[in-house]
Amino acid sequence: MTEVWAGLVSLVGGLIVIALFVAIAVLARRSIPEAHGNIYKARRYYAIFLVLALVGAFAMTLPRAPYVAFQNLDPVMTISVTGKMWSWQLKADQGDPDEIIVPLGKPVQFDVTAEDVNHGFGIYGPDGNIVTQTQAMPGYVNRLQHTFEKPGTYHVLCLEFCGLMHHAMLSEFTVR
Amino acid sequence: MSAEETDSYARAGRKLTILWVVTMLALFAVMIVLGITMRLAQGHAIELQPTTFYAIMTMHGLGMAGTLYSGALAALWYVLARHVRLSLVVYRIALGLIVLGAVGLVAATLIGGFGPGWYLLYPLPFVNAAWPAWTTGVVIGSMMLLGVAWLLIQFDMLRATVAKYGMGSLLGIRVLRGGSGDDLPSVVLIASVCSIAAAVGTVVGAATMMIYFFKWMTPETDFDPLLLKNMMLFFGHVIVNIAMYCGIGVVYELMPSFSKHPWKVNRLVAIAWNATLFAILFAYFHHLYMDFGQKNALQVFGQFASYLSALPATAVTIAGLFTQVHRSGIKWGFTPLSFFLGLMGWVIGGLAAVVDATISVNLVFHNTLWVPGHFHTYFLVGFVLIFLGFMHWLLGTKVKSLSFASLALMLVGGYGFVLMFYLGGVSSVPRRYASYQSIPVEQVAETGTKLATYGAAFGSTFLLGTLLFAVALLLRPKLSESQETREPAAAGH
Repeated sequence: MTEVWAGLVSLVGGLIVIALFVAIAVLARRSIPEAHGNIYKARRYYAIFLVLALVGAFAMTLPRAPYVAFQNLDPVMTISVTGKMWSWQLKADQGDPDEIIVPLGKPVQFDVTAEDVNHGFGIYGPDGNIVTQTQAMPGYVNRLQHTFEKPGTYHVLCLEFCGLMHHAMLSEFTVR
Repeated sequence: MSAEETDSYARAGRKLTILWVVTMLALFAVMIVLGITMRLAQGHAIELQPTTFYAIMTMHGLGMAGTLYSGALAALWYVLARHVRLSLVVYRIALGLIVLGAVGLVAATLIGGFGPGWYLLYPLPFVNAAWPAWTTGVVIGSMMLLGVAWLLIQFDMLRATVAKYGMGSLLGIRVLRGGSGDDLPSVVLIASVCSIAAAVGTVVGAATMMIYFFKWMTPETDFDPLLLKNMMLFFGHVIVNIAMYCGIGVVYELMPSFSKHPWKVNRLVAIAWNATLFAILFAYFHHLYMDFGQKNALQVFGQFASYLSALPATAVTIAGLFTQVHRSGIKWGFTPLSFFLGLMGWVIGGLAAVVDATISVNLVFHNTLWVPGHFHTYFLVGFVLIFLGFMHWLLGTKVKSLSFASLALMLVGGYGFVLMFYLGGVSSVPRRYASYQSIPVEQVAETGTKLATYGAAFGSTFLLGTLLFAVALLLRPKLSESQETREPAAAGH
């Protein structure tokens, strides 16, 4: 849903910007010197609105940032993820190591790193959208936590360009 | 300086600028062709091997960023030279170095197959490379040449500004301290902000390339990938943003000649441009949100600096633009209209960028097509329109209808092209993929392929507009007849 909201905000905002520019351009063709200062008055209200909107957006979105949201989770399972040109290796700390089964509705943690170059560990849900991601960087372990709310097959795609077969660096796991 | 010397300086500056911007327009058209080629390959209209695709992708990224920033520097140089005496020798040397650097990049990518992407993310250029080692060395050398060229111009702009207006003019410090801004042209203030920010970015880029050079010479040496990612993305972020701000400097300088209203420096404008400098230097952290190894405070600071950039950009620059034209009786010729529309594209692209600079949004947008969506918006229908407006002002045309037709094509092609990227971002289509066919998520593969085909069609429309614009400029008045010939490059002397 985040991508849909982000897309809608951008679309509506973009259309407002276009409408405003077109209106100013049309009105500009006629010279009325006394109307010239009206923009200064409008600017004050706009600046107040913008500051409030940005502060509001900042306050609303920051708690959903991964580094903040993760602090309240207590993962029931940890999966070690290693990216290397051009495959993923996933190993769970419980169950069959060759078939990753992630519990539905419970927080899990991915410890993500890379052996050679930077990769991007992107998880796509059964509905085809990215549900979460982190970078896989050699020498660093990025701890990604997530609670899967839908059962099904989740696909892993590489989301950081890593060379010749970057587009074919894939994996998958099951949530049930 | 005698009147004859001033005239000779003005003519030489004008000729060099024309040579420079025409070269950049030609390179820009070639880079568009590379971009369309990639979208055609992603849409399966043509077949490209991954090695070829990624080499083209690398050239397209490096070439576009380098071309547009170099073009922006030339346009800013020309309008700044109306107020301060810039060095023609430095200008000539810089252009020569840029051409040499461009030749090196073309040879390494399109001939040698160098293909780790424009950002050469460490240690990718040195691990299991599908391209010969010489290409890595040539790219490092070529980027150093470009960096030297840019630094020469940046430092020359600062030198000339201090020589004429004093140290207090840099960043509008004396206006911030309560002094008058009446004798400080806005372009002088903006050029100092652009030069200082870009010089910092270029120096960091040069340091990165020196480390790469060391790694290339001694492959057994290892460096911290997170540090180098910070350095490289700082460099890239600053340079592409400053390209836009150089264009805005040109608009501040030239728009008043069409609107007949002065665009002066006051305390608010000086504060706004200093806030812009701060935002440019610190917003780059938003490129590393998905690197959880980065300090959390820096991530939050990145979102703060990214949000902050919206305030001076819209409440001062766009409000200033609206004040310029509102009820002014302006005649919408090609140049003022393309300036106006260029700033509109900048705002729309900026809005999409601020949305993506929200950490929780970036969690699902990072490295999807949303990212090229926003930066193509503020380049294609933002900075490029300003640059073409400047070229039109500089050169003129006898066939105005042709230049307006080219603008219409670029608007339709440009907005259609970026819309395909945005739709791809919302559909989670990843960027930098040679092919979407290997993606096991059916709707992503299908959507990505379709949008790429439509994107290629819109990109071709934009290219047609660019070529039509070039034809319009070819049908220009003789140099001695054009109105701008009477506009000396060094009117300030």
